[in-house]
Amino acid sequence: LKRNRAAAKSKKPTTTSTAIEKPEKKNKNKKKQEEEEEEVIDEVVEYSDDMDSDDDDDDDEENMFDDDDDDPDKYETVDIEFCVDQPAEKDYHGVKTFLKQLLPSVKLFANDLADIIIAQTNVGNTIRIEDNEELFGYTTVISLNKHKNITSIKQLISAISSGFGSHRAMMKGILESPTTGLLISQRMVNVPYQIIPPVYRAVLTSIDTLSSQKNTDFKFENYLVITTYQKSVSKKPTIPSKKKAKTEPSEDIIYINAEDQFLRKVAKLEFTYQIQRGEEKQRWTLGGVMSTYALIMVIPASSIPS
Amino acid sequence: MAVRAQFENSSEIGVFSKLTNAYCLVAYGGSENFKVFENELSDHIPVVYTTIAGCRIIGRLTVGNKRGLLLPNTTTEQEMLHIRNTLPDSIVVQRIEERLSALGNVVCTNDHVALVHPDIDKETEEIIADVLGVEVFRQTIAGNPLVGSYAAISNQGGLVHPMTSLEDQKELSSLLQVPLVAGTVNRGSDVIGGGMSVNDWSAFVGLDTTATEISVIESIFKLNGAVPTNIVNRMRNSLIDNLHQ
Repeated sequence: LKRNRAAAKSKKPTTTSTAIEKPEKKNKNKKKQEEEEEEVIDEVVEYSDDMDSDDDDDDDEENMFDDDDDDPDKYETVDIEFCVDQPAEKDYHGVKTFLKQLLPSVKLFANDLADIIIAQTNVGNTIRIEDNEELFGYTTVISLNKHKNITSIKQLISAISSGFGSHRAMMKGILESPTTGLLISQRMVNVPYQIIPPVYRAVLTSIDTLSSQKNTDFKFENYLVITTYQKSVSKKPTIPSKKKAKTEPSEDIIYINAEDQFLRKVAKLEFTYQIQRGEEKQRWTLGGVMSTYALIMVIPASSIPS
Repeated sequence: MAVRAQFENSSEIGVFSKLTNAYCLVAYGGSENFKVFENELSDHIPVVYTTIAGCRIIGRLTVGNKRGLLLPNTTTEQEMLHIRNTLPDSIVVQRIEERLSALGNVVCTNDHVALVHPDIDKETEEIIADVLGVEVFRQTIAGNPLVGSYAAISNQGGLVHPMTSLEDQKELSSLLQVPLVAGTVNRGSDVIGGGMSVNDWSAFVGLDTTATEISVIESIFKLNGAVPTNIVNRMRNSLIDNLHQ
């Protein structure tokens, strides 16, 4: 899987920024992963790490440059400028579409939650492109206690409660606490990871501002995150491959949201369970067979900025 | 009256159903929310559950009115037999060979007039005129040839794509001989034909439809406090009896 994607996407950017890449390659900036990456890549490519230069709270610029050595007919390069913006009424259908994919095993009645998200303009940010109608992503925090009676929240909670197991008592406490916020963050596939820090910063800053103004709705001690990841199913379920999976867990897992792998590290509590998307337990992709897992994390509010 | 419904979490009612004055086709698998069709209509007209070519998007593949029903060439024999058997004999069911086989998207009809995609075959136009008993006009709506997708009409009125110019609206209104209004359904969606199903006395729209959109729909299709005519007729008989007494 990695080899195919590396060969397909190898480019030599001439100046700033990094190319738009698939999720697992987002690890490439972390030193641990770099060696593994370079073994796999057929052409050695030098990338300039330029994550911070273009960072702005309001926009994030991505530039990709043509590589003459690569087949120029294969890939077009696109200059895209993403904007971090406030939710608006026009985002209703976009948010609703995203919400339906939040937990694929649940047929979420997303209308009410989408209404709440777009109405909450003081907390929550959307990722848009100028002059483009489509919503490319959004991040927001909903007060679980305030909205616990709406259909979609009830559906989500009953869906995740199947995976509580031994943590039932603790989860119950968290779900009923008035200081728990549901952190929802969704983006279209391949929206570059560089957009994540500005969006999160914007949301957390709004929350800080509101909570310092003694707005009790937004005083959060814990964030509940409901998300999914995909894991490749080993084709030969023998003991050697199981061992391999244990020593290099991150290789097998593809996170739908790149930030999840970091959130996992600071999570107070996390649990996962396999979910089925309709009829299929596993999905065939170019590289192998994937199965989807739900990942539920409880993160103390103080840990997120780090 | 206009009723809100959902098909398996989708607001696109006009995709999964085909509603006419004489019958209603509904797709399988809609769960509780789609029973609303049965609940509202089954006292007055037959409600037929079916697929077309194994697909559930029956509203976009078929076109019909009180006289007939036209099916695409992809319809299987079994499906056609099932539909023929369940519908009253007075309704002509015919399968047509047409390159533009998504008939629900290319034809928009009521019991008297039909608008069709400018590129459909001459034979198809003739079959439509013959089976459905309507006058056929080749038209576009807001510059878009998919007239079945961007408009919904009944014998009382019609709703068209929000970007339809006033002159176009006037022209279409004079062809169709019904009042038209440009508007949206399902909270701002401009695909009217896919978003709703309507006949002379009832309309079904998606759950997302706002109250404003519903009031526009109820007013243009004259659905306010509407009752099916056969019920009115039954009532009229007993009412008149009472008068004479």
